[in-house]
Amino acid sequence: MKKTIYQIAVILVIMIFFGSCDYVKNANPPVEPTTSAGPATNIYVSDSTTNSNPNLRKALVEDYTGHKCGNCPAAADTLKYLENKYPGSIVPLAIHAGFFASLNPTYPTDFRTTTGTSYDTQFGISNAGNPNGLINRIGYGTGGFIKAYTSWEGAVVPQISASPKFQLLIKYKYDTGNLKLNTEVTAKSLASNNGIYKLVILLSEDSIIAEQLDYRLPAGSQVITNYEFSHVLRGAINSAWGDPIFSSGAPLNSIEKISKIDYQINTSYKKDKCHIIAYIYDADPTSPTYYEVLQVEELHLK
Amino acid sequence: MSIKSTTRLLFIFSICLFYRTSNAQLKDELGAIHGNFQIDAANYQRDTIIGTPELEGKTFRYNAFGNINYQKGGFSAGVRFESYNPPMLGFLDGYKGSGVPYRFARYQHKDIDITVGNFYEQFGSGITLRAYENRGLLYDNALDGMRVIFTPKKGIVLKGLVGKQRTYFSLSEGVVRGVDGEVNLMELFDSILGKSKTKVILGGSFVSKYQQDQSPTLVLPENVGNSAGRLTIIRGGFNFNAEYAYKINDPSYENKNSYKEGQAIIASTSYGTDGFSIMLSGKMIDNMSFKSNRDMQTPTINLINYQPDFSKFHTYSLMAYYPYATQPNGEVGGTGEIQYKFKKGTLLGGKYGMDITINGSSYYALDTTGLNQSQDSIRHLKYSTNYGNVGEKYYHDFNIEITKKLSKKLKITLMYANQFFNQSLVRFGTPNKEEHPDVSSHIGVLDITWRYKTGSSIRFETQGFFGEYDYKEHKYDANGDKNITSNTGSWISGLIEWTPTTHWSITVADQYNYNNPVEIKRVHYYFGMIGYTNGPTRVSISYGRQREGVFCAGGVCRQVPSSSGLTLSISSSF
Repeated sequence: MKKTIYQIAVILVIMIFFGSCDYVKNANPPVEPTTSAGPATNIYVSDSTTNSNPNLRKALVEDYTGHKCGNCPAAADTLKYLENKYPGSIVPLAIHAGFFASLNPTYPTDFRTTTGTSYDTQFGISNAGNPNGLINRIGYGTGGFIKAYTSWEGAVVPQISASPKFQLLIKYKYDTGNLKLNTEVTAKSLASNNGIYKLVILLSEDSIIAEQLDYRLPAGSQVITNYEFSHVLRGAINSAWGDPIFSSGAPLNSIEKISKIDYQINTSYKKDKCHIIAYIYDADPTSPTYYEVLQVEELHLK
Repeated sequence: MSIKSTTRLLFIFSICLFYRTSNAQLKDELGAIHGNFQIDAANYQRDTIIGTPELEGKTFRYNAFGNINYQKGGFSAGVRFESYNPPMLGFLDGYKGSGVPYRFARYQHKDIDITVGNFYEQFGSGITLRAYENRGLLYDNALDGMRVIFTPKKGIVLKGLVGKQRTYFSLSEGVVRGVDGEVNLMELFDSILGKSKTKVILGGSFVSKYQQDQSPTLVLPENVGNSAGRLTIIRGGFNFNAEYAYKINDPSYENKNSYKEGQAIIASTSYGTDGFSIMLSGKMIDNMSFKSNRDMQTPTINLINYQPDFSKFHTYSLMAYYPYATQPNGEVGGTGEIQYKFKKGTLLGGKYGMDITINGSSYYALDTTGLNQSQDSIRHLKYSTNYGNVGEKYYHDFNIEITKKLSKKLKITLMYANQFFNQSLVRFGTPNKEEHPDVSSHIGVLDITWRYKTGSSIRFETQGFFGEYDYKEHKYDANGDKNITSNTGSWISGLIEWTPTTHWSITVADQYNYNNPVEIKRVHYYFGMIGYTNGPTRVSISYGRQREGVFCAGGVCRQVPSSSGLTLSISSSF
């Protein structure tokens, strides 16, 4: 009996020793050939006024970040990678809030917004540290709610493979004379939905050049002065937590609209770099999926 | 405090008393049941002067736990219930909730010892694996799995384990597997070497973690191994310990995804004889943070190993205002301590003798060079280390403590410390010394205990913290205020603790931030407490302000926000 125990122990030790070390000689993943077809995405149309695929549930990927956060550019790169890999299925949003987004003489550009700060406070992201993200805000109240960027893709895939409960269509009218934006979001229920829902309309801006810390660079040259910021949350067109929608229930194929007129776009924003983002979420505090984004849509301003 | 909160406190109090009286030790031929429990509850109030956090109605908070263990012969089993709804200020919000995070069954018979469920374990100094619990920090990285300890022969102990680590009320993503062997040469070869006065113990451990690679931008090692060898020599009052550890590439949030290997050398030696002891410890640790979830950002969650901390653990609050803990990504340094007892009847010893302790610690960053991205685009090592040199200073603490009994009733303790704290790097992880200047301080303590009759005493304690800050640019902001957020200037404190009987104690204390650079922050942190102790039961009620700060134990720290309010604490065991 003792001999057998010895033998088992020796075998176990050998197994652990030889099976438990992965030396990585090249930390970069192999480059995929450019001819790779990738997922069948040609049917997705990003311009939701013409067609938003009613069978697609999109994923709102929120990247909570800051210019003083040296690990954040790696998360921003992950967001770019996801956009390229799942075109039309991802709605990216970078939220600058908390300590890493505060200003000092090296980082004078203020990307913070009251909307972004309310999200950050409510979801406790700054307390958990940056970079961190939320995928459709799934799992609120659970340990896995806040996600490190290395786990974003794993969380995105089941979201964009699921059936959508709602379809959203965004329309806008922009008056170049008085710089005012009128937005209308139409929500259609694709199932028999009977919860409490709210709809939020946001504005984001791309291609902003400013300073960013990047720890991937050698010590002494980690401040990038011409870093390009994408999908920066600029504010809420209606409000951070939105307007109630389908207050009297959302039976299959029911439709409701939310409009917001005369929203003044800040003159310092480049209009043709801006996007309108609309999302509908579970606003029932007693629901197990409280705060979950059930559908999200994005429309580029032209 | 609202009536509702008071009622809740009284409710908890009465449940506990009932629980205590109805659970005497149950022991009969069916086995024995033992247990202990503790409840700490607080009702916080908003205090804008000291800047307590906005609690949005969640002003009543508590931490509670209870252990119940059963034992009969070689079999034991137990559970621990824990509840935090929500946890008290200064503890991680992730613990919010209630549950049974710890339950185990263990069987020990002759040479075999098997545990299933949760267990704590340590290999050597802990540099490859240490699963332990610290209630004061709410630190608990218990493993959930299985462990076997096998003693095939006297002098040989083999351990094997596999499991997942506790992460709040769930488990971590990664799996931990480990083996450890220890040979006590003298016990093993007792018959050959005879009864030797010298003990030599050799040990080795290997721990591996598994976590899936889900990164789109990096090839991550899914299996990461950490191995170590150790030696202990003991002879009389002399003791020597050394351990060397090596960890393969382990990119993580903590080390900014560096693929560099990790290494550690830890050694300590001590000698003690009647009335005298000396201890020296040193270490060099490079990139040895080892977590079962590489993406975990909270420093104290999912740690598999423990990087030993030798710096002195201060119990006087102002001595511990800037506490030091091992830097997870690397450091080099050491600690030495001499204790000497002047005997009765000598010049310094006087009638009752005198104790003196001299202690010194100094810790530095490693001397590292960042690698240029063009040279490092394949391996992602991020930096190289020059082991022949040291980098920036992190911390020093030189202190002397003298304890002397002046008469049968009067005892006095005097303590002085000189400390240096590189708070920008150690606490805030940034080289920005404008916002977080280095702090040098002189700290003094006088502690007098007067036992005026048997079982009754009064203790007076006064402390002073005199800080020197290396002010950089931006000393004043646009309004002319000193604009250094983390500088609170110097402090003094006083405390009186009256123990009228062995059951009761009454404490009043105050800390005064008398020269805070911001004048309105020159406030008193008053505090009062009444405690009752009876056998294993202790109840205390306290009221006052808690200063913002960092609390460390055993090299692990937690940030505590400022708070103000009423606290009730009850603990007992059976």
